[in-house]
Amino acid sequence: MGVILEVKDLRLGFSKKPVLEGVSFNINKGEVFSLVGESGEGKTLLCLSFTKLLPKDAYYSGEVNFYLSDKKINLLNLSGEELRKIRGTKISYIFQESLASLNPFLRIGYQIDEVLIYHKKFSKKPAYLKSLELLKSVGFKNPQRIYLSFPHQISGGEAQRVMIAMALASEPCLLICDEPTSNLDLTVQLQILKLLKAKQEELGFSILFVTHDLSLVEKFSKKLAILHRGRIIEEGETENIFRNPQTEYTRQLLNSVFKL
Amino acid sequence: MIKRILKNKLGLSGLLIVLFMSSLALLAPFIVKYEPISLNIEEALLPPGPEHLLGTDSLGRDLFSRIVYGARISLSVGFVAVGIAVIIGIILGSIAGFFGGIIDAVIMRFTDIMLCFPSFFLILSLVALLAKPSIYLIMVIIGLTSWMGPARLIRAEILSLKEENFILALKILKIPTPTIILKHLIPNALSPVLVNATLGIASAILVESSLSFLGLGVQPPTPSWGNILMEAKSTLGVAPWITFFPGLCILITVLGFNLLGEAIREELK
Amino acid sequence: MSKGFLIKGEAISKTFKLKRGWQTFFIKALNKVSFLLPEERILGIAGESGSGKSTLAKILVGLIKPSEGNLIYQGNLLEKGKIQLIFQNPYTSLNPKMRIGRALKEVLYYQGLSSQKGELERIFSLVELPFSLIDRLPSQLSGGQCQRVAIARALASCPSVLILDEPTSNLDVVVSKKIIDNLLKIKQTLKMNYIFISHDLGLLSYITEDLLVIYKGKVVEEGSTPDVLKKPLHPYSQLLVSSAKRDFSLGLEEEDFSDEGCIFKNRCIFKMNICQNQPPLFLKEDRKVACWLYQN
Repeated sequence: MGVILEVKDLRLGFSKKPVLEGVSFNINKGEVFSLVGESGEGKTLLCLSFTKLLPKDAYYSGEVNFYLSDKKINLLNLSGEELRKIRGTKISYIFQESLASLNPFLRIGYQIDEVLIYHKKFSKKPAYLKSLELLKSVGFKNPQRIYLSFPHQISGGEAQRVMIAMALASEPCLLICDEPTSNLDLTVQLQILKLLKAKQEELGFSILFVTHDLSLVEKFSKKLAILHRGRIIEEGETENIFRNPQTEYTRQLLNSVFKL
Repeated sequence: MIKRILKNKLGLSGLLIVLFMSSLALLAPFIVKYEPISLNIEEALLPPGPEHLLGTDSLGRDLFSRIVYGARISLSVGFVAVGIAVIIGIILGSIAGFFGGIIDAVIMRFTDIMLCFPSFFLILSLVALLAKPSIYLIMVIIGLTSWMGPARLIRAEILSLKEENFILALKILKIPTPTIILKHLIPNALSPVLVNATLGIASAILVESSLSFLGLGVQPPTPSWGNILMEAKSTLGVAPWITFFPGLCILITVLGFNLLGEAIREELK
Repeated sequence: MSKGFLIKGEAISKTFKLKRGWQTFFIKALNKVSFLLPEERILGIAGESGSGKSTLAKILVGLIKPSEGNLIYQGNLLEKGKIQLIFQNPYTSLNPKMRIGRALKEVLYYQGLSSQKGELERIFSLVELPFSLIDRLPSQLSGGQCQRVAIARALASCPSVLILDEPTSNLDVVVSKKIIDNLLKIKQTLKMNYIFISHDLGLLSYITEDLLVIYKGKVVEEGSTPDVLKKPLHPYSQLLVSSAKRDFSLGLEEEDFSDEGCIFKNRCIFKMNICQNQPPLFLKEDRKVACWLYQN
């Protein structure tokens, strides 16, 4: 089990204020790693920094090392062409607002085709067939209907499954999920998590799961890191942290979760 | 918001122009050497010089003082006319937007009818009918023919604000309807009207100048940029400065308000 | 329990008319919902989006009139504005251009109460807000602070019943718990009555005593909260509880909407032939369940 992502002393912020002040953690190959932090802590910025999707006036320093077939690549030093090869292929994203991540004017199927055509060099007909296959693999009983639908014709939960299909289309090594279930209903949340877990076990990619909802994390990921005030204040096996929280903030967080 | 407009260069220039012209108008009596209507035939048609900053007109009147007093007319017509238009617009627009149904339909059809008239010709006809009206009447007439824009804007804002949670909360709290409209809905609906009003002032200034130029607005000897231009027609060849300076003032002032209005619109986006 | 009730709903239904182009759709948001809010008990309504819970909240405070059914209030609760609503999004429930002190004073004024500083300080301390925030605008406050202001504003009208529609869904976990605990304290101090509407079963189990489970506008189960959550009877309640427990052992299922028969039948793993007919509420022990599985 090697490391696939190594974050070393990542500092991020805007000219007016720092957001992350030295964040370090590792994600292993095939591992589900959760990053828990409250809103505004910089979790999204952290995710975006990996592929340099930060706003123009943000500064950053440190290392984000991505291990690709024994090569160590510092993502923060990449530019243009090299970045594009990794972003969307080896590293995929799923965001909170799934409906907003889709082009409202294109049929969903065409948008999945796009990923296959540009990143995997498929041609039209094979892309169409593969898209249908992907839609089926994320649980759609009628992939044809979803393929031909427009984003406004499907629900939030369905849109998130489409996003997972699109993300998996490029066969990534690392899937970064930024609060993918926060806007969804309770029963749909479970659906999505089960799907992610099933796909992860089937295809073996790593997941960086970013959330503010501790209850999601307990059964979903093995490793956990807690982000507070720009630093990782606790990190380790999920079970251990739940049983034996080391910091005051973690204890407060655990106490605040309403348990059933 | 004012701070952000200051950062935008064009908006800043617009604001400066507006402030400059406004100060000229306000401080008129203190900054002119000669009375705007005092004749002095011996000093007629003098080009700009140390004695008469912008020269004199065909009757020897100091052009600078006439222009400064003219600024008073133009700006007061601009502000008052737009003030009237905005007040009427807010009243009609908020009633139409809040109550909806048949009240809305009636008010909106009335607005549509008013919009069918080309406003300048409507103003022209009214002014001609009233045979050389006072400047106050001109302000009212311009106001009465330009309230439609603000009315529609306010109505649109209120239609969408009506369903906002904070308005629903006020209803549940049994806050009386007039209070909801006056203290909560209208203040939140004003932003687009602000842009419309600023641009409207520019337009009102142009209307007044055009009316005066045609001899239907402010009557000489009271100076207005428009009627100075009218009188300067005959002496255009010999004394071009009498045409140039009022024209320049109209241009700069209208530009100033337009720049300011555009900057506010950018800000609100 | 011979205590009186504060609100009683009998077979409340609400149908909305929606026009899309030349077509008119009828959306039945609520379908014969009945419930009781007894004095001094906290009622919870568990439902996801599309369950009609927000429509129900608006009907309870009088913003919307039900299409059918009876709503009975104790005394003049509704007319006097003694039943208030707290919305999910704290920022949109406050006037963005009004300072919060002024917003509170306004409510006090129209209730005929004193809006002196002392009264304001009392309300601020009730919701655990520092008085120094009194001149702030909502945009200058955090989500949690805004929600406290919304609660303060509701309390300023001296209500008997507070309906809270997903009050902490948009807030952070730590802040949420503090606000919920605050609400419990307020219940003690002011003898307040609550109706909590949420999809967060953990929250409902923490604070509510009676629970109504709603699915697509129909009550599918009702009973005391610990009973319903520990041993859910209706298949939908079971699904909700396992989702809340993040129980990965259930299979994936897909949504399908159908009007006839039991509204849950297309997702139900226990579906039988009789489910083509709509089940009434059956009585089982202390509870009511709308499911043919529990037919006597």
